[in-house]
Amino acid sequence: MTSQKDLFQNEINEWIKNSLNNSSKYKYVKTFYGENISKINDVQLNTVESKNYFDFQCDLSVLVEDRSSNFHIILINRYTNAVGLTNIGEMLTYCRLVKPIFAFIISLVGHSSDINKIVSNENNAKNIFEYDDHNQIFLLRLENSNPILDSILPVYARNRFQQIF
Amino acid sequence: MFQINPQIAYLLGLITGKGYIENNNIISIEFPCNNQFIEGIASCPKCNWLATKPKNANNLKCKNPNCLKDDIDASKVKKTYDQSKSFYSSVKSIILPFLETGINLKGDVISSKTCTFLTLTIEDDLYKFIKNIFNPAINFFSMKIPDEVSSFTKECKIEYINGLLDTIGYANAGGWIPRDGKNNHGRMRVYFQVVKNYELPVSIDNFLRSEFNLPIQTIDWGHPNIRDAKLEDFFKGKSSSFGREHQVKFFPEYYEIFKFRIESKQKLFEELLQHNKNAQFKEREDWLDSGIKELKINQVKSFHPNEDNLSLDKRVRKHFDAFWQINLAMGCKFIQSIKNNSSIPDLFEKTGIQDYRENSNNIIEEFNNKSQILFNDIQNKYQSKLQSKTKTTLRNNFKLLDDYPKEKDTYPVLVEWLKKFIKDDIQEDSGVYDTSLQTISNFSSNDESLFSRFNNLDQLSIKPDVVGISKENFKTFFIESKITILGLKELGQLIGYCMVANPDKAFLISTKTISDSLLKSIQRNRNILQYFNKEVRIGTLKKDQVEFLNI
Repeated sequence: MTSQKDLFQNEINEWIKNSLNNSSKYKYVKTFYGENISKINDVQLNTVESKNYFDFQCDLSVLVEDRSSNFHIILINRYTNAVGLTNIGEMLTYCRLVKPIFAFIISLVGHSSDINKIVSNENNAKNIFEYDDHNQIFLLRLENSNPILDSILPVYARNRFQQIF
Repeated sequence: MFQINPQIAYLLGLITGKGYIENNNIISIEFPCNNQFIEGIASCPKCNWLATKPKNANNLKCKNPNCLKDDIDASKVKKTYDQSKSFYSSVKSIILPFLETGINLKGDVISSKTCTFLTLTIEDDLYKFIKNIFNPAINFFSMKIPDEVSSFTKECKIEYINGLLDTIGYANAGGWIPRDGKNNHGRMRVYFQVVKNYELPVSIDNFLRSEFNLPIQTIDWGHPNIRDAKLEDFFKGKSSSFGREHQVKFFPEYYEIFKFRIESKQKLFEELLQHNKNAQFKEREDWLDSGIKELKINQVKSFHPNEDNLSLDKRVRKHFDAFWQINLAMGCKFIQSIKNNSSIPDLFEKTGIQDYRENSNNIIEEFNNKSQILFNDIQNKYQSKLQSKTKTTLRNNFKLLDDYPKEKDTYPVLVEWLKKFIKDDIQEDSGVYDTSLQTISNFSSNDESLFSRFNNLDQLSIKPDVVGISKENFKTFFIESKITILGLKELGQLIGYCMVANPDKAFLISTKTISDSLLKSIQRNRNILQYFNKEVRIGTLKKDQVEFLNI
């Protein structure tokens, strides 16, 4: 029987695939589910910058190709419950290490009310969501394969999210 | 081709074994040692023969039929080697200086108890050559011996193998096989241990055979059909049922031209070598010398549900009944040659039969059916065992789990430790609290005068396990405690807290050690430890003391 997490994972993959296919900048190539991709031998994956640094497991690691035929990784962690500070800290650590082109924390529920005050302060939000000079982790809620715009964090980066996705 | 010297050849061997080709001209090599200590051979103090521990006995018994001394204290007859110390000191004082004699490089070494990690920054030309020679592989999970190594000088070929030995070569006194020599029992083996990579074992076997005419005793593949042929791991739900390490095993007496630069490995190698030489074994025992024997129907192995697991190399996602069949699937040129000369190649591949058989399709079908029948039998056996398991036995299993220490058991110890640390560090008294059960903002009512130091107190809905605040200058200290091996995930949790609360010092402390992947990640990008120009410190809790990791 397929679990709720697996179904949600498939839903996320559909969303990212469609978003990328509608984008002029990146082309979807493939998704690795829950794998330590530094240990996978794949011709396209091997050309990703700092590929050996990806020595951890994200729920989805999405391989994409840009217009110059360079390959990149998008990191996604998915949760069926509310996302807290520790989950954001975990993704922030991955992002500081490997500097992915995009990183998402996607939940069926959104963020935990415990961190409302933290994320509503722009300075705090910058500290916990930003990596690699002004790139951000996006935290959002997904429903029926669509992101709920009001759920997107950090708030100040919502316009950027909408422009890209 | 690039001018190869012994140091470059040795470096290529290290990379093939446990290397990563990083960006910016950086090569990194890991030297893992799973156990801090390793023991040598147990020899009888009376006659010097091998001594082993009989079932249910406390002491060892001599294997010499003319001696049979049975009260041998293992601790008195075995040498012990401290691998953790030896790995670090050998990499720093022997391997790095050796590499520097032939390569312009800058080297850094960091280590934990389970791994030493060497990072080298090399010149552009050599970096490009290395990248090219291994292309498309960029780490040891998919490397094989590059074809170019065959054209190296003999000295360089030897150094290449030395590099492989230092990273994936293991001498282990427990790896002997029961053989009788003229003067002793038990033939010691050394092995190359290869994780996940299915290319490398055959590559090593064929290279040593072609270039040095050396025998390989066997290849023990990590494939489910070989390592879990009876499906014991599978039915116990162990993930290892579909991917253990491979071991290429050999007898040390044929490998004296090579050497380990890791001292503990070399000493143990010499111990095993001396044992075999003194024992005097007659047979060369090369798996290929004895030829490929026809498989009998009773040698067929059960179908394994993980034999097509996606984590396996594509070429071995199928059923095998013998290790040489995997060698063939992975491109062993010697077996390929036997296959090409056999009458019906498909029949040879399935059964090892080399001559013509009228009913070859029937034989192949019989083999296939047999593996399915065996699986059905094993499955039925496990299902009936599972049904007979009573609630009591299940309860007992959980009781065993309860005996492990819980994370909360560490909090009182860490509270006391932190008080002392603050006193030693900044000569101030402090308030130190177990805050694991409520957020700092809620907890602050316990001691408002101290907690008022946090100017964003209302936002601190975070729960570090232990918080300390000094009483004069209001310096703040966080501890995140774990009873698991520390990885990036655990570090990330504390970094999340630190990026919000900005404590003066933050500690990630576990009763276990740091994972190799976290150690490597810190070496690659130290920035991951940082928050507001400060760094998280990582330590191990031992009784009531914290040992900080020196990185």
